[in-house]
Amino acid sequence: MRLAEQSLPAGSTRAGRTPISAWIAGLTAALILIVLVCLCLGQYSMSVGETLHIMTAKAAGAEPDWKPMKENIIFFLRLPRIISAGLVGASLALSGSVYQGIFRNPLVSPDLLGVSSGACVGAALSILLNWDPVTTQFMAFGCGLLAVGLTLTIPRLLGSTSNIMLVLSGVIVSGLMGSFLGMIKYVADPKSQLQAITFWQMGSFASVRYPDILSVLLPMVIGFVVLLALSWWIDVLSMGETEAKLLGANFKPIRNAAVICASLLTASSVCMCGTISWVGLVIPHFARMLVGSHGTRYMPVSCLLGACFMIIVDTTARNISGMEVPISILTSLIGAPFYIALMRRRRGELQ
Amino acid sequence: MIYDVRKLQFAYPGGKNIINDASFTLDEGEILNILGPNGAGKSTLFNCLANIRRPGSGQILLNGKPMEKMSVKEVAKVIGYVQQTHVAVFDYTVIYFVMMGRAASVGMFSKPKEEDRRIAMDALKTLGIDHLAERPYTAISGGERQMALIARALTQQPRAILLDEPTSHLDFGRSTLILELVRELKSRGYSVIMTTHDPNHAMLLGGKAALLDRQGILHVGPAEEVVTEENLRPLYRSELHIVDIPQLGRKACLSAGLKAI
Repeated sequence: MRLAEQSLPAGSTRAGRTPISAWIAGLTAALILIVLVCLCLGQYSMSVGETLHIMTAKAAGAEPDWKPMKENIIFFLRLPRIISAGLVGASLALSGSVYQGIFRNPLVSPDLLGVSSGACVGAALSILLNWDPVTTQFMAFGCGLLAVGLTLTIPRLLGSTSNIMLVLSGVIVSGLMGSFLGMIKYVADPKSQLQAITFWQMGSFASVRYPDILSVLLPMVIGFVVLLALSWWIDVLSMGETEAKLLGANFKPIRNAAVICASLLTASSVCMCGTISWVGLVIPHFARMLVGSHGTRYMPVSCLLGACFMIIVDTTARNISGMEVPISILTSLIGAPFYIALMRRRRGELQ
Repeated sequence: MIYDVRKLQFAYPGGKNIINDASFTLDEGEILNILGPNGAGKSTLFNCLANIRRPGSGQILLNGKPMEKMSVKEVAKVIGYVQQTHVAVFDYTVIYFVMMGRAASVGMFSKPKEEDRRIAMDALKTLGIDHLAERPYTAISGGERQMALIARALTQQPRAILLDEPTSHLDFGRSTLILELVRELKSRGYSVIMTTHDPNHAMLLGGKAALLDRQGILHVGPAEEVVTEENLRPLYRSELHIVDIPQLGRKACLSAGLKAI
């Protein structure tokens, strides 16, 4: 049968023929390089050689021939920051990718269903009540998930669980959380608490230590493993609910599993370093631009790119001036123009 | 028997019955064309047959099994559904898009394997669009997309293919090609159900035809017995004629012309 018209000579396909393993290997190498360089940068800067020497010697258990301060800076100040920034960048980028696929909308970010605004309320409440930082983290994580739970419950109560109801429910919950946050800020002590809440909302890795990373490691690992395993299915879901079902996909169980895991990732990130904007929106676009739209290709790439990006941004945040710059200020400053450039490239496709 | 549909009824919540009585059977390699005026509920009936909507009463036996008791995976292995339009959001390649037809056979937390890719590639070859495999789905023409949708349905390896007004977005020549393709599918042993606005399609394809009238009753029979002037005139409320065209050696359904001003 010759039914299709002869189409234009096959142009370069954007999906590209570079095997995805090559991309992953290349980006992993880049990530390692970035980690190494960022370990050296700071108010007390060291050479890459020195840093490498300290790390390898330490790993081999050799006698230290360096100042203990250097070791402390590397292992207890910079490394935990870099690890957490990498994890957070990868988490936000991956959950953004997943949300964009499920909701068939490339303009969606991980806080669509209210996880970030819920986490903000939890953290702000804890700050208001002068609870300790560990409890604040716990509250952020819990309230973030609670908000998503509420978002998932409202459509159920109304008897229609389509995607559009879910998105509307997310808008409602985010709005509700916004007003709670407003109330908390209104009664907070402007000198100490309000400042802490505001700083928390803009995100920072300054206070992250190993226990903070350990406490969210399990939900993060679960999120990464499940979502990367579901990457092909998320593409099937991006066909829309009816079509996915006709193809034989169990739409709702897969969607709910993906939403819950993406929320776990976002909540874990937010409770470690506060809310960080733009990363979950922009990085998936960038990944798609590099390796094409296939979830099996761009989702892992998105993770690696997110990690690289966040580590660079955090290193900038602690080096750009004498004091810490909140992360979201930088991500927005970089993200917005980058997004304009992306939109310019794709203006023909987005209608 | 692929389809055994018994006394189907359907009403939207709070409304009266759109479909009052629809019963038919469809064997392997049989074609059924569903005709009906706008708003009679063709799409609704079609959606019931495709498992998108659940009928209010009556029963659909698919391969002898009640459809409402089957999982989406089981249904997808029997029915391949080709919808009228597909709105693309992401620029998946054609082969990747077609491979999604393997969803019913791919395990949870898994991805399509080499075998699935081969099945998808075979479907592309069957439809003569294998040269488009690596092109972005967003960059091919409407006719090619229709082909890709059919290829995806074939990739499900179903027993029956359902086509919802497959010619509605196609030009005159391509519409004929689609009808030829439908006949080819039939000869390969697929059962085919399609909805159409053009009685000529039912006459060209033969097999069974079904008219859904304004009372929601489905009249089924051999195409040449069902698609007649007496049946179609009240159905479309139009002065139409079925005439012999000696040059073509077949009958055609034509309207009487426009009313004088």
